[in-house]
Amino acid sequence: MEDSDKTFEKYFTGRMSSAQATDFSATLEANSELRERYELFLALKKSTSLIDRDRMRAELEEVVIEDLSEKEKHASANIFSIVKWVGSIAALFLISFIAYNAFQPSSNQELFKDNYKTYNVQEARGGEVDELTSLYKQGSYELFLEQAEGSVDSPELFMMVSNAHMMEGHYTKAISTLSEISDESSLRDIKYWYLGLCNLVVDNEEEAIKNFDHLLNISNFRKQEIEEILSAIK
Amino acid sequence: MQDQEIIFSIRESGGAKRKSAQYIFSTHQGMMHMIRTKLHLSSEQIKDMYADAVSIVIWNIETNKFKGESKISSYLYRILYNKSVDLLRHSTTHKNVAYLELSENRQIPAEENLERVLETRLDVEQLKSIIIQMGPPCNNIIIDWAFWGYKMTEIAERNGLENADKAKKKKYTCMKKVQALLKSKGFV
Repeated sequence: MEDSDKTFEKYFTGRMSSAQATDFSATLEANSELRERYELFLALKKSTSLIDRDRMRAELEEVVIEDLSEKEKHASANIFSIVKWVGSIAALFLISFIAYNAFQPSSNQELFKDNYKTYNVQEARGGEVDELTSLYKQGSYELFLEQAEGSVDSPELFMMVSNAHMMEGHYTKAISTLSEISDESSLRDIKYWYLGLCNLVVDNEEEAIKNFDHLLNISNFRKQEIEEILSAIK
Repeated sequence: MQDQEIIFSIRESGGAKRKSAQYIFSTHQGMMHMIRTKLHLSSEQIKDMYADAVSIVIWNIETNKFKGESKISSYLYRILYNKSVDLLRHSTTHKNVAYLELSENRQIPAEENLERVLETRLDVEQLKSIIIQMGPPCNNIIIDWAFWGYKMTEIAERNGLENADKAKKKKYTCMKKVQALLKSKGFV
């Protein structure tokens, strides 16, 4: 028995030479008793191998095997979710921004820019004034203001000086110059128009509204524009 | 451990085989993640396949079907992958039996065309049940001898027997029991 076990082991593990193995295979074919014993030996090998396989399988029970694609899917889903959230937040911001700007009244400076037009000189004037008019018309406002200093004596010239200040961005000076123009002047309406605009651009809304309201009460000059400006700032 | 050392140890049997078998089993478990991810098997399925594949590798090393011409890890991977693909193709109900049949399947790489008889007409599943039912020390002695290939002195030591002779006698008695049980169930 022991001897045959050793032979079986040698045959089973392939430690026999090819010729020896072939001979032994032939012996197994011929000797049914030996074949039966060998088959039991082989069956024991296989069944104990299965027992060990089950032992390994039991050891794996506690092992966590992750499906990495699921993990990737989760990661992708998370990234997608983050992108979705960021996109949603960005969209909300954009909508809010658009809505805010749609309903937000225009800034006073924008209102000024939209409505201000430089005063056009109406009349031909004499020598000195003509020179000033020429500078004004050329847009040489700085030089015009230098030349006009001390010689401003007519509503027309006050109007030109105030506009030159406006073009130079000196709105407070423009306001004080405009205030010099008498309500008796033919430039009364345009004076209040520019006073309204100048007060608007320096964010003195109260004065701007006062000037525009006054103009509406006394005239139809720029009525539509004034109503739009008032609806925007009130 | 180097592949040649593992192969040598498994063929050497006993404690060396046990150590190498455990090394193969524990150091390649990452393959389960890869193949599960690739083939979308369940956790239970890939564990079944891995236990089968490691068992096949050990069997093929022991029977000299695997001669170490490729790396053990590559060989194990191919077996695990092929078995997993096979599982997806055919849902088998007798996985434990199937794994040894698959070891000779054309999909599983074998490094040698064998003329040796490595198939038995005995029902190995039934024999496995008989061995388990026998309980200790017989089941342990049979596993130590038939699977691990421990020497009788080692079997005596491992199973609390006085010496190799006692172990040899105990093994003989156990084997007689196995044969009797097989006969009683009509398998021989």
